Amino acid sequence: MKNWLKILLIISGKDMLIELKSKEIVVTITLFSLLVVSIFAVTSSNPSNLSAEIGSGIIWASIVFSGSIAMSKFFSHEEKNETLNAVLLMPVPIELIFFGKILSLFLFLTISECLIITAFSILFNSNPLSIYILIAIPVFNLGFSCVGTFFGIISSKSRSNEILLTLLLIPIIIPLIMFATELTRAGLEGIASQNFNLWLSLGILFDIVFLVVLTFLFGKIIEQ
Amino acid sequence: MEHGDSICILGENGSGKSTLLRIFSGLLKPDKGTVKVLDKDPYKQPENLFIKQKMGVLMHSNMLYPQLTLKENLSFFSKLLGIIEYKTRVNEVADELNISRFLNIEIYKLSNGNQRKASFAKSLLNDPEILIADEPDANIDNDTIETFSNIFLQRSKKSKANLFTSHNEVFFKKCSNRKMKLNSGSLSEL
Repeated sequence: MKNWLKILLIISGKDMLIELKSKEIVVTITLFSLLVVSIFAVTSSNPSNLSAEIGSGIIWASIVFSGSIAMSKFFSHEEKNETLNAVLLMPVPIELIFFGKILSLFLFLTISECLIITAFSILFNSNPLSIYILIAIPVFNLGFSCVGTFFGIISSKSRSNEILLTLLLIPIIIPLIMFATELTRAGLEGIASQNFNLWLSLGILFDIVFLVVLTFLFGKIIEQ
Repeated sequence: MEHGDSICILGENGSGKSTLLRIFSGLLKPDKGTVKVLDKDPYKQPENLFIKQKMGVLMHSNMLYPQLTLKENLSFFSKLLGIIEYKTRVNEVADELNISRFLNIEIYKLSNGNQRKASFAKSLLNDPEILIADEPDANIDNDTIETFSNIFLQRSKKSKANLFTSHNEVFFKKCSNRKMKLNSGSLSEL
């Protein structure tokens, strides 16, 4: 178990080091999302009175689209330099390579979301930060990173990988987007979500199912 | 293939030499037939982890992270190989290939020849029982060819095996003690 954790940290630590040097993934997610949020802010007649429903939609739509672009960039570099193959040649279980990539994307998304939410609260003069969004972020990021890693690696083999990844990724994570927007809406409205337990169960169930199924399938596709 | 064998696979462009090496290294699964490396299946977990621990691979692509320095690249792969004294080992292979002065330079800033040396250094980190190398002599100068040849010969003397492809007659004549030709999907000893 200790060894597994060590390998995970080695793989993810290397991705963090690359990101510290290139600043590519976090900057892509943050800048693209900020642009989307800013466009809504300047085109809205009264940004302070934005409804919670639309506000949560803006936050998560920008994160999903910018996240998928950043993911395709992340994996196309691996494909171009054959560095994923280099890691596959190492005496490391395939599942750990998969988990390592999930952890890296999870961290990139979390850092970007902190910046996006701060920008949203400034531009729309509202505070989305609540216990709901603090729960929504890790649950959403885990599922998004898991599905994104799986399809990111598959689509990186394709020439039109950016479009392919977005097309494969977004339909699958719709339940996760619904979960995150619902909790964010409750946070923006400042009232308790009536179906909080139901939505939370849905989000966690999504993460568990996809983590188990895709870990199994990842081993199979790499084997093939 | 026996201990101490240094086999060069020859063949025309497109004859399947690289594909064959990718199959042996476990990166590609054959459509039919079986492959055994060190008496184990290279495609089945966890037995392939044993093979990976004892194998070094140098493919046509250098398989290094361009944004990271040579030292960061070699340290990362050493850690994955479970080398405890990895800092010492990184310095050893860098010295062996005469690239110590590039240790703190990012891979993308190195010349093609030095990138090739860096990739070769990566494949030697675990002092592998089997070294699989696809055209190791590509993009390198004559002095480096000499260095690479000496490493191949020393490995053979230590009963370690090399399996490689090359189009450079001087290189493969010096480095190999067996030669095979791949032609129309058939491998024959020369």
